[in-house]
Amino acid sequence: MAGRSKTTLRVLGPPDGLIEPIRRRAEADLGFSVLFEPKDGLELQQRAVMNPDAFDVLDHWSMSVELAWTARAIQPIDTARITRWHDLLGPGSGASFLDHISRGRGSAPGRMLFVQPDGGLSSSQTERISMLPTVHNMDSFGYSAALRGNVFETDAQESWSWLLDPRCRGRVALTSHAPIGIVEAALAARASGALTFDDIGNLTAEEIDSLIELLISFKRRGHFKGFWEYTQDAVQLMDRRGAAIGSIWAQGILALRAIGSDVVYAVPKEGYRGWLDGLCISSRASGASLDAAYDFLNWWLSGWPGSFMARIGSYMSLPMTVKPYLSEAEWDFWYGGKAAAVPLNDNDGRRIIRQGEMREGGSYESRMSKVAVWISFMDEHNYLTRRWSEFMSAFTR
Amino acid sequence: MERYDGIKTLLRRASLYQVAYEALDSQLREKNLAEGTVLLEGPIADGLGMSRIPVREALKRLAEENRIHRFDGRGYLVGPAGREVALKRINLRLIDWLADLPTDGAALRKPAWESIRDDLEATITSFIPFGCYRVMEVELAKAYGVSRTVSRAALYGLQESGVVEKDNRSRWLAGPFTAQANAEQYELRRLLEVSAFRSAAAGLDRRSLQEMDRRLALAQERNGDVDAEEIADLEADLHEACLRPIKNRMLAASLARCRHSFVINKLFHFHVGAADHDPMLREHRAVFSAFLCGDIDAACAALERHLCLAEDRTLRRLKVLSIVPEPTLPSYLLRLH
Repeated sequence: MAGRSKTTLRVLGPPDGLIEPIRRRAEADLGFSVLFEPKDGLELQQRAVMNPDAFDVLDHWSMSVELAWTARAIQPIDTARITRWHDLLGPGSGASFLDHISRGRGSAPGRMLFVQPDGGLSSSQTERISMLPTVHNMDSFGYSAALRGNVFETDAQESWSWLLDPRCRGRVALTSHAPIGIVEAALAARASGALTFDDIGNLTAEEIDSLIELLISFKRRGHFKGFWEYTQDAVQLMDRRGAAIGSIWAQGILALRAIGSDVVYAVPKEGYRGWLDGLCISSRASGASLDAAYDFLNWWLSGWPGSFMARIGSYMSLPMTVKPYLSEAEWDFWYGGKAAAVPLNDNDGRRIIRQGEMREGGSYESRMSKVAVWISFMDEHNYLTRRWSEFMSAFTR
Repeated sequence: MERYDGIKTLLRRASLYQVAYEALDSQLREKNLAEGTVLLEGPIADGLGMSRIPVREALKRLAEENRIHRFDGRGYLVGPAGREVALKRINLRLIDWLADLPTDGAALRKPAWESIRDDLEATITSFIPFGCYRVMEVELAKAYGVSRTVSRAALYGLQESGVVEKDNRSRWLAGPFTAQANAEQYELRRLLEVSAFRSAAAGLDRRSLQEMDRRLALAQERNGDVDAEEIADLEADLHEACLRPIKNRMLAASLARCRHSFVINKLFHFHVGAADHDPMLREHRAVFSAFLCGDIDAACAALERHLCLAEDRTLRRLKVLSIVPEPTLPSYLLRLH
């Protein structure tokens, strides 16, 4: 990596992952230019599938991997070129990382990780993978602490049903991303007793119809304050625009904490919604750009990127490399689930964790074990995407 | 003339395929088309004033009869396979295709709805992955410049082939094509198509299947670099042409209603472009290879295996279609959801 290469590595991914400090550090550490192209949701998937020549690395939700793979927009990754691949498989990565990400309802990332001889993807280990697992987390919903005691009993156990509780009418925010929103809505509908599902990670067309009709009826009654695509929009909804409860990612929660919000990140009794980002290599990458792509992938497992992501609440697939880049207090809080020995700051130096505070949900292992369902690429994904669009556009002024 | 007497009745309500076949057949018998003349479905369809699909079927049948044959270029050459001939290219649009057909006007008067059915079917099926649509008869009639009676007849025709259905409010509905529908169609195909293939096997011409296998081999040699039309032709070879000898018309009709996967795969290739055709080519060749070795049981097993794997491939491609925006609707389609 010595010297400055003329290569420019183009990375396509969502804004939450393509953060400027990460890009600058990557350039400094790798010795070549790194260009981020932030896009999200459907737009990102379209770009990836229709224009594999427009990127070298794709950084997106694991469920998009199957989509990109089917379209042959990405190429298999040779694990022999991933420096720490055996660490990822071995005990140093924490208790059975691959086992963790291969379990649970929905599109468990481990079940689409390994490229099989027939070109399919599964959890059977081979030497080629579809994506390099990196950042991941267990999400739930955020709510204003003021709701406790006023709407929900002080000692009530947090539940996904709160998102559809009529007492929250007019104050609920939801993500507009179909594969995420549908899972959260399903968790809420099931928890509230409104609907049941055979497999919450793989809804049938009839179940999708029932769920969408339920959501549209809630929308008709003015239940939702708004819908968000980007984390900054979720933050605004909950900070200034009157949403008191809603789906929101860890980054959003911490951004709210940094500006003094009383937002709480729930630990729902039904479990979390899991997600994992994977780094994929474009099917068009070759020569110098392919080499740069592998350098970038290996860099993501080198430690510093994981420490940056830890301070916005996310985990890394290889925690052992992250630990040296966090203070002991940070490691104990973010991964260990222990009380913060000292106040902790975010990457911008803003105070986000008070001394003595504990991470909701506990340690990494504890939170990982509570994943109820992964964000999903369901069999009826095409159908649900269309029906979700109807929900989004219903009663829009 | 016995053959013509026998088909006159058919011609009175001739399907477009029949008209195309008879037109080509008569030109060949009258030797109006010299050996080596290149036959392309597009210009022939233009000359006949119909869509390409019936012309394609007619050309395939003539190839199975070894009166025309495939070559390394696009289309067919007049004459049986195996003879060296110089290629002749003529303007197929200028040929009077119907000149040598029986002049009984009634024989050629086919129902007006049949003349719009192919185009209507192609349009409606291209929308089914995108949602549930209502087909409006009045707007349909206006769009095609036909009477409402004709538009309704066309819809009843499409109802028979499973493209549209009437709901309990008598509205014509099409779609959505869901993962569940995909699974159901493939389950039916595994139950019916394998049996149909076994029944049809005795009536299959060995030479035709060798020719089909040769086309697959040529596509494999190009590393699967084939366009959507060629893929459609290769699919039709196994899943339509090989079943043509079956006499059970209900069986044939049931199978014809289960082929929406062809639409899904075609849309995937059109909108997304890239696809890995090698598995399909290998699986088709496994069927032909077993048949040509005389092992019908192995051919049927290979066909069943192919249908299982194709179901999974079609499902994955259907999921990818989620990123494709809905195309512009024609005036006679209304999206319900």
